[in-house]
Formats: sequence, C-alpha cells, structure tokens
Amino acid sequence: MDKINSKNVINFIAKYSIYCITLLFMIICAIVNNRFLTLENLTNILRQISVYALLAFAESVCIISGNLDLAAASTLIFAGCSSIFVYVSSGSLLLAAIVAILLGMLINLVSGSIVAFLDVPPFVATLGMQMAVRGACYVLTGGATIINTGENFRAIGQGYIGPIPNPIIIMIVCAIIFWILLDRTRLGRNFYALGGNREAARASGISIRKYIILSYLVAGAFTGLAGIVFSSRINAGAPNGATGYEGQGIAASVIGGIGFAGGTGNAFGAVIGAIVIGIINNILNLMGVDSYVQQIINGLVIIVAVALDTFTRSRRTS
Amino acid sequence: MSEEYALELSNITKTFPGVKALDRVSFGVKKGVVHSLVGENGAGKSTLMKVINGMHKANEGTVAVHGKVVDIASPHMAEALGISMIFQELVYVPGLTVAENLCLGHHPTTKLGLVDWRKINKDAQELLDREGIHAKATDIMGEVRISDAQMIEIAKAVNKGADIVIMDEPTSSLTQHESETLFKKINELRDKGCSVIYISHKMEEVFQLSDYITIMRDGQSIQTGPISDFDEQKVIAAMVGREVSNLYPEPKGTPGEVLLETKNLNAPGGKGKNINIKLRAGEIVGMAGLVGAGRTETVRAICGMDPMVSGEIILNGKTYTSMTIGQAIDNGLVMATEDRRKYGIVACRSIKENISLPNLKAICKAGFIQRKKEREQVQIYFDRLRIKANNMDVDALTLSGGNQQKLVLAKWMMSNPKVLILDEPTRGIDVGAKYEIYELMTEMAAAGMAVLMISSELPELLGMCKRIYVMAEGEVRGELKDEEISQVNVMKLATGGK
Repeated sequence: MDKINSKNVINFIAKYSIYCITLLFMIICAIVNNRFLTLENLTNILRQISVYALLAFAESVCIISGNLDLAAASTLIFAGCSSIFVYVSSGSLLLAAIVAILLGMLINLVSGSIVAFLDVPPFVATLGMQMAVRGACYVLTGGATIINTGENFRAIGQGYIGPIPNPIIIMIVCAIIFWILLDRTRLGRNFYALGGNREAARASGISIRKYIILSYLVAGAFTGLAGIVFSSRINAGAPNGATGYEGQGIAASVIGGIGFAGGTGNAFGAVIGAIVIGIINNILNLMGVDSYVQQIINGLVIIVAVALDTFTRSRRTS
Repeated sequence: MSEEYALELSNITKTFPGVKALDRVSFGVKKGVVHSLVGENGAGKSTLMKVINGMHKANEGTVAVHGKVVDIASPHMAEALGISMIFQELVYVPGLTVAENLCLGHHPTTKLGLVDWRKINKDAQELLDREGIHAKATDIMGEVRISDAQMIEIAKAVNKGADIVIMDEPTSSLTQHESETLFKKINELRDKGCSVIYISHKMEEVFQLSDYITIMRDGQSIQTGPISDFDEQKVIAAMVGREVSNLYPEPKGTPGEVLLETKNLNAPGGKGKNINIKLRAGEIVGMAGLVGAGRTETVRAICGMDPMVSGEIILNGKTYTSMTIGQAIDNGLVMATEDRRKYGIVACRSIKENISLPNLKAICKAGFIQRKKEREQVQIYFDRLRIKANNMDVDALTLSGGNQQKLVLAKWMMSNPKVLILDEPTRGIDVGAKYEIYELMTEMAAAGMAVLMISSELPELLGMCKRIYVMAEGEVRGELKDEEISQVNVMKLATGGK
C-alpha cells in the first residue's frame, strides 16, 4: 500500500488531472447554465466533437511518434470533397468513405516521406503541405463549394443508428481501434519509442523512416475519415472549410495528456481532450458569447494546455 | 565555526516528499585540500553538493563558508561566495564558440554598446594558453573533446575566483591519460589554496588525489578523516555497509568457436581502420584505448549503428559486407552503448516497455502484443538483473544510473544474443552495482555468449578479460593475452608505440 504523501498526490493529480478537470468543468457548466446537462445538449456536444476527435487521433499518432501534422485540415477537406465526387458518380457511401480514407493516407504518405527521407522538420514539411493541399482543394472544386452532393450523402454525418447519431458511433469505434493500436500492438509500442527517444528506438532495431511514414499513414486514415464525416455533416464540399481544425486536433491531444515532446499519452486522453474542447465551445454558445471572442478563448485554452503539460513534466522529472 | 575550514556544513537535513535524502550530515572541508566524497548512487552525495551549490535548500542545519554562516539560496549566490561546481554532464552551449561559452552571460562590450568580439576572443585565447588547453578560442564548443571541455569549465570557474571547486565524477568520460592531466590541474588548484571536493566511484583516483575522505551511505555521513587512515577495502566496506571480498568475479567460461570475426573492417570517418578482431563463445574480450582511439566508432560499425565503409563481418559463419541494426539484432549481435540516456532507454516509458522494445517480434502474434507472455518474459529479466524499482511499470527515468544500465542489459539479454558488445558498461555506476554487472557478464560468457567490453578503466579490463585488443588512432595496435596483460603493456600500445 502506497503511503499518502504530497508526491503521490501530485503524481495522482498529474495522472488523472484531466478527468478531474473535465468533471469539475461539467459541474460548473451545469450550475452556470441549466440547459447544459440535458441529454439533448450532451448528445449535441458529442456529435459536434466527432470531427475534432478524429483529428485528435490523427494528431495524437503524430505527436506520440515525435511528429506533427499541420496539414490535417487541408487533407480533411481534400478527402471530403473528393468523397462527394465519388459518391455522386458511384452512389456508394462505402466506396466514398474508403476513397476518403485512402486519399488521407496518400497525402500523408507524401508528408511522411518528406519528413522521413528529406529530413525536413515535421513542422515545416506539413506547413508546406497545408498550403499545397489547400490549393489542391481549390483546383479540385474550381474554387466553388460543391452543393450537388447527390441523394443521401448526408446520411453519414446526419443519420442515426437507433437513437445514436452516426458521427458518435464512428468516433467511438475509431477510439476503440485507436486504443487497441496504441496499447496492444507492436506498431503502437514502436510509435511510443520513436517519439520518446528516437536514437534509442533506432538502436533497438526499429526502422525510424518506416515508422515515421507509418505514423503519418495511420494519421491520414483518421483524417480522411474525418473528411467525409465533416462534408456529410454540412452536406457540401467547401474548399475553404475546416480552417484551423488541425489546431483543435492538436489542442485536444495536448489537453488530453499527450505530451508535446512525444512518447506519452493514450487514446482516452485524445477523446477526453476533444470532449473538453466541445464543452468549452458548447457552454460559450449556450451563454451567447460572441463567436470572435470564442476564438480568443480557444487560442488561450491551447496555450494553457501546453503550458500545463510542460509544467507537470518538469515537476515530475525533477 | 572554525577558521581553518573553507566550507563547513553542520547537521544538514534535507527531505523530499517521502524521502529523507540527507540526515544530519556534517561535512567540513579544510583550506587547500582535496577532499573526496564517496558513496553509492543514492547515498546523498549529489543532494549534499546541491545544497552547497544553492540548488537545494536544506530543511535543517547550517552552512558556513570561511567561518561565516551563510544562506546559499541560488547557484548564483554560491558563485559569489567562491563556490563553483563542475557537473558530471558538462553544461555548455554546443553551438557557440569556446570564447563565447567562456563569457556567457557577461559579454564585454565596446563603447558603442556592441559585443566586443576582439576582446572576447583575445581574453579567451589567453586563458586557454595560460591553462595549457589545446583548443582555440574560435573552436565550436560541441566539437571540442570532452576532456578539453572539462578543462575549459574548470578554467572558467577558477577565472571567476572560485576557491571551493566541486567536481562530480570528472573522470567518468576521460581516459587514463586525460585523467592524469586533470589530476595535475587539481593538484595545482590545491597548491594555490583552493579546496576541491572530489566525487568519484574510482577508488584508485580517490587514493591518488585526496587528503581527506568522507564516506556517505543512506543519506548519512558514515566516516570521515585523513585518507591515510583508510584503505580501499575499508572504504568500500563502509560504502556498501558490508565486507566485499572480491572486486571481480572468477571467470567461468572456456573459449569455444569463433562467433564474430571482422576482416579489414573500416568504420566511417577513418575512426576504425582495417579492423581484424575475433570473438569466441564463452569469452570476455576487452578493448582498451584512449578516448578518441576509435573504439566506439569501430563497434558501432560492427553493430550497424553506423554504416561500415568496407571490409567484412563474419557472424555465425555468414559473411556480411554491410550490416544494419535490424540484421545485427536478428542474428544475435547486440550492443549496449556508452551513452545510456541517449541510446539505451526511452526515459518516458515503463521498464516493461523498455525491456520488451527490441523483443516485440517474439512476444507479438500478428502484430498484437500478447500481454501475459510479455509480462512473464520481462519479469524473468527484471528479477534476474535485480533492477531496483517498485515494479516494472514505473518509468525508466526514475531509475538510478546503475539500474538504467541493468535495464539496458535486461533488454538485450531477453533477445538471447550470441554476441554482446558493451561500451563502458560500468561508467558512472557505484561499486555494488558494478560487481553485479561483472557477475552478469561472467554468467553470460559462461552460457556461451561472446562478450566484448570496451572500457577506459584499466583495472576492470585487467580484472575481467583474458584477452584484450588495444586501439590507437583508429587501428588495433595489438592483442594481449593472459600473462602479457598488464597496465604497462596496455598503455604502451594505447599511447602509440607501434
């Protein structure tokens, strides 16, 4: 039995802080606004965060492996718009979804290769890709929003299975897959090692280049799927849409305890992080806070999250 | 408070949440002496030094410098009081020049308020020349040899007027030869009236250098006195709290078939030239040489850590003209590197994950980890190497140096290697843990492994190996066997006698 002392308490809080904060946060929200704790509103939050959560999984894979993907939002839109074309010409939602996922992986194969083979820092490589892929979105759509999405394209984003909205189901299934991948597979272990100490991973026989690319491919699959969910939710292909979503994904990851330095965090964290972001947006909406002010608050939340991450890290290592 | 003490600590107690790191420690250092501080890792030496250096604040007790009780609240204040600490891991900015590092934080400026580069470089060069350091003021710090960097650090401290210098394992990355230069420097400092607090695990040095010695164990000062009152056995016994009869275990294995052979192997950068070595099953072979002799580079090329330039490696009868780390590991050739933190462990992950990292193939089925199998397998090595930790789920970064080294050995032992290369396996490790690592090496050799041990500590090579290769300037200058092995013979080859 561990003794209860301040170090244990600090470690406990550091380990479970995000869950405590989320709970506390929900209690405060419930007190501040009586519409917050209704089933309808909570379902709404989960539906709204589904795209963020998928992006959080994508960013988490990258961050855990010591990388980053700033191009995620552009990739999401490219995959989303393309999936509309596929759906309109084929009439198959499944095919559209598969194409979206594959396109996400293809774009990330490029990003990953640039990082792995050209040794360009992930920040720079994916910043470049962010612009290039966004440009490709405009080329693909001719710069106009695609309104003709065919019949029933919205089913993925707006439909239900039983009482549960589809995006929530997709999010939960992906969370489980993501958790298994990180916690139970060799691939996941190698991602952690890669981000935790690249040199040590190499010395242990792990091919660094291969796993950098694999991390981007996994991220690309989540991003591509997020693309079709996003486009289906708004039932349109907006080439200028989802701007800044990669920031939300990164913020969700870091809030959820996925250390920016790489090598730490888990799938639950990414989900919780997305939920926290969803709750913040939701309560600000309920309270009628101006959307421009919301952006300011969102920015501050990201900074606070990373600052807390750095602070607890230094506390625990000293 | 006595005047003859440069530094006097009385009844220092320092507690961290849950641990009493220092327990009423009294420690006095006289003027113009070298005072050694020894003890196992975790005995409290570093904490005590950090109290002196102002990095930690003691809960109880007093610190007096030159007879005056002071409250040292920061390293900055310590510096002002003439206390300077040379860390084991040197602290400098590798991208800047030697001169810039020397004046870091107080750049002299010209009348216009701009940085006076001419003066910086001139002053720095003068200092370097005066101290006899073979480096130029304009050299990039990161490219200067570790031994020179250390000398620069000491020069910097003394230049600032330090008269109490703390050195934390300064020779852990130096060769015998470089150590001698350092010792000369230390003696000079003492003759000038400086007090040197010397922390080391190497008994030889402690006895060669010190005037006084203090032995710590479990946060307490166990014994203290003039060095003449002690001998090696007595010090070690006091450190570990029991009698230690043997410093090295009896070798058990008998050399068998050749498991690894290199033919005219060339490592990148001319650091290993036409290397021809043979390692046999059941044998512990030593590799001696000065730092910079190319030992590390050579073995890195053998293990695929760096690409070999030319030559052949014959491993288990198969000839390779190139080698990747993956190939090496798959064929039972593994290496525990000198720099554990950089190449050995993933600090933010658990002991369990670290140990299974290179062995995941064996414990995975279709890419999925078989968790029960992993736990059972890792437990075997966790227990066998007696890694000191509550359980195998704690992060590797919480382990002491010795236990991190055991962790690295555990992960490679689990991979069931045939050839094990150890680069400075006992560097920075305390006496008790050292013996455990020697024992493990002997066991592994007895089980039929070929072990190659690189070390800059001659006594341990002499104690552990029946065959030693000596390298100098990137070449294997000779091979010493059985009776030929002696300190003199090794040094003769290592210092260039062709």
